[in-house]
Amino acid sequence: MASGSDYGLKRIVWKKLKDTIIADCRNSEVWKILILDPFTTKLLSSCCKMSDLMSEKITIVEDLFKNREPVLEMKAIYFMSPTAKCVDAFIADFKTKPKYKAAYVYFTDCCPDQLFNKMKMHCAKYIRVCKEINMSFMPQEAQVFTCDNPEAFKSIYSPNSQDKMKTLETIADQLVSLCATLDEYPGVRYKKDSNIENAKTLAELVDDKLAKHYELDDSGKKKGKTQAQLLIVERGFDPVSPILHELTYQAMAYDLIDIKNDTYKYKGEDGPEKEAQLTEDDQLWIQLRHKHIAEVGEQIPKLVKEIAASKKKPDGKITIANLSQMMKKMPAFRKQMTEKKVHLHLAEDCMKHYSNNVEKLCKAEQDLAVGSDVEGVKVKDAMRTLLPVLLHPYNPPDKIRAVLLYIFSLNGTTTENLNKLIQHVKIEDQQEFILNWKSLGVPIITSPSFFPRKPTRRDRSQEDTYKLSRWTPVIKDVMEDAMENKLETKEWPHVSESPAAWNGSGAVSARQKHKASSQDERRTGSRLIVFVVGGMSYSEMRCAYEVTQTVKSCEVIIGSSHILTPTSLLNDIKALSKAPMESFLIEERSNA
Amino acid sequence: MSVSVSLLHSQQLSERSECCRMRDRLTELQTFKPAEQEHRLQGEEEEDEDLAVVFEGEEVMDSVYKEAQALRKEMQLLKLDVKRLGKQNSRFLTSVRRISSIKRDSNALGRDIKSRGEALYARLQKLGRQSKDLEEEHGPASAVARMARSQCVSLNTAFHQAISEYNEAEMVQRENCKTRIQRQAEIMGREVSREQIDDMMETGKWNVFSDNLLLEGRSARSALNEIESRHRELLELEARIRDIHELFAQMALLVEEQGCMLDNIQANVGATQDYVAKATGQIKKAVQYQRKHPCRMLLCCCCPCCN
Repeated sequence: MASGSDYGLKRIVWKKLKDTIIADCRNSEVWKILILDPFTTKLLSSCCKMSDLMSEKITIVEDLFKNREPVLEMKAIYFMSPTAKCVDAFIADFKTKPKYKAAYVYFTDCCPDQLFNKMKMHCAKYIRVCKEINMSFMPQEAQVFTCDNPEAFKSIYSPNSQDKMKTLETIADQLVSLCATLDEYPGVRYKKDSNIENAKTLAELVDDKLAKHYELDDSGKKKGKTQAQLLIVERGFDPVSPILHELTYQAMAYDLIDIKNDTYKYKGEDGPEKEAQLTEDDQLWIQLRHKHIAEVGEQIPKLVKEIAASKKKPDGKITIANLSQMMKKMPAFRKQMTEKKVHLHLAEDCMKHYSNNVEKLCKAEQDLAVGSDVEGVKVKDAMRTLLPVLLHPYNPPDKIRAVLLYIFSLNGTTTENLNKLIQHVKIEDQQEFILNWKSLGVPIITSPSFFPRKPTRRDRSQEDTYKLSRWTPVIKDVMEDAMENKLETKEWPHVSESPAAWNGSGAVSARQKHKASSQDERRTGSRLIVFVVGGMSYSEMRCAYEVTQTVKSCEVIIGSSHILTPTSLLNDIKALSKAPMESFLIEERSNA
Repeated sequence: MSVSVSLLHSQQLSERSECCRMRDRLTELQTFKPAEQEHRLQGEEEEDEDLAVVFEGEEVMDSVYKEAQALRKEMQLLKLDVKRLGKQNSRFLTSVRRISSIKRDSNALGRDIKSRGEALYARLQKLGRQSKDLEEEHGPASAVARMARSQCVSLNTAFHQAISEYNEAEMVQRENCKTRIQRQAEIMGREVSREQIDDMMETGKWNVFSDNLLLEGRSARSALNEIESRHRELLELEARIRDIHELFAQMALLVEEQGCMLDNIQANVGATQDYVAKATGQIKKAVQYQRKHPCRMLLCCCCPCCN
């Protein structure tokens, strides 16, 4: 109804909002105004539309931080984050002269005492409702969420960072709000790493906050742990996936084409530039986004045919044939046609970029990443695989990515080798692209005798893969191992005791009959929540869906502070060593 | 690390609400009776005066909302009619008896839907014009104009959806009829493809079937009857669609012109503008102040008060 897919995070979020904010106001027959801050605007926009609000008697939506026209006849619903800026804006609405008849106040998270008391002092008499809804995460897709916080990367990994703990606390709060929204109390596990401890710290924070959150309810009962697991890993545990050239539709598109805010800009045949939203409202996007570009390409002739058919002009008299032609002109069809045209352009765009640059590059990348070539022969001399890439006039970012893959495949290289590579790629003044990876715990410079154990990967030789898509993100191995209860406690310690024998197959309750996989059923099964500190890539998001498809009884949800593209990640890595700017930053979001 | 958080939680434990572990903090707010009593006395006078200034569009909005509610109700009735038509159509397919009476109902329903739809469309257009007038009078960024416009947008979309459902129902019926014809033709020992049926509909030549009537016998005759009645049904269906087609096309165009971004919340919020108090408001205030001026009320004749 509200969002494109009929299951998943967005639907859950919308339902919770309806059950709380809207249910409260439904009693009064009066129309209301909804006032949002930037975060809640984005949150609401991702899971419902204006028409959904209108049918719940909300007449207009306003921006909290803009100067608003007073409407004394109406009650206002404030849905905002508990920050000083928001509370001040709210108080200003009622301080001298009230702008609205009454206020219904909803916070996305716990409101700090100081702000709460300020509110109390100035406008308590206008407030009819004041609740804290635990929902401070952003539902990105049906099985993907983010913390909407790209700055977290620098905050956590920069050696100059002053507010790492603060950021980790904020993220922990957001994770707890996710669990609360999903009504889950998961067992928390993290990936042990000898070099950096962010996963451990975050895991402990989350577990602590979860315990306090579920401590006691009114009836004095303590909520027990549910059949869910929360796994926390760091970006450094799989540096390959976010910089590899991926060939599945969504990952490829966001890598090769400049897509900002999920908006794809293209030029239609009739001239003017058009925009398209790549969201779950587009049914065709949902179907195609995880498919390999070759399969998407196969769909194109069919799309072209359908578009051509819809363009035939009907002649004068109204015959049956003409009527069906005319029906085809209707917006329902036209919307579908527009969607098809968008994907026609997008797929062609991808292929254009691909055949220009990426094709030859991919083979070398796959060999370096997987460690063996198409036939399965192990790569003995990585430099030999890398050399053709270095000699070919690819653009510097692509070369940097190849060099990084080379280094990752060797678990670090010697200083002189590294210098030679840097010279070759001509990035002497931009060495940070490579060197700063050490801040993520990824070895860049190691001595020749240093051979750390490479993680063993699942055997996927039986799977059918495209030659240039042999690499599987490590997170997929983790998800599958977790489902089969194969994660070793030494590598993945539990923070506190987990429910007995968490088995992703959901074979716990006798109530659950094994029905054929209808999407809705999965919600009643168990959940695996994976969180990557420092950003996740589109290929990793895809894995969540793939694993859920195969293990039908457990739903995998993946999230991170934000979503990466190879370009954005490299830029962020370079910026890690920059000293913090001496400027005044207005903080949009503070923590509880 | 999280000491402050734990303190907060332990303090407000008693205020926990059970639903979704949300915290309801209303009671905390209501225990406090601040020194705003003074402020109230001071502010009350000014409040009264300002009430006259602010939100002039109240009555207008009331009428807009009433109309919007009424239109929504009408649309619900329309949707019910469409559902009824759908049921009628399927009944027609399954039962062979009393075809004429069932047919009559379908046509009557179709006519009802059309007239209701056209009435709705006229009212929607009127509301649209009213919304445009409000925009011109108060400015497009004013609360009144935006409220009216968003009502229009959502009503247009809902109406378009209702009509699409009707169209969908008739399309489904069309396909079912054709399938029945095909099946009956098979009983007669004839294979007809969909395109052939379409051709026959267009040209009106149905004698293909009746040609061999003399040869086949009773089953063939009843099959032929079936086919002929389906054919008649199809023709009437096409007539119904043709009738409502214009309305459908107009609505469709309207909705498409609206664009889909009007339904997007982020776009809506982004498009709002900072409110600038209107000059007229200030003038009204000045007049009221003058009226309430104590000197004036005492009929004082001193120069500064005279006007």
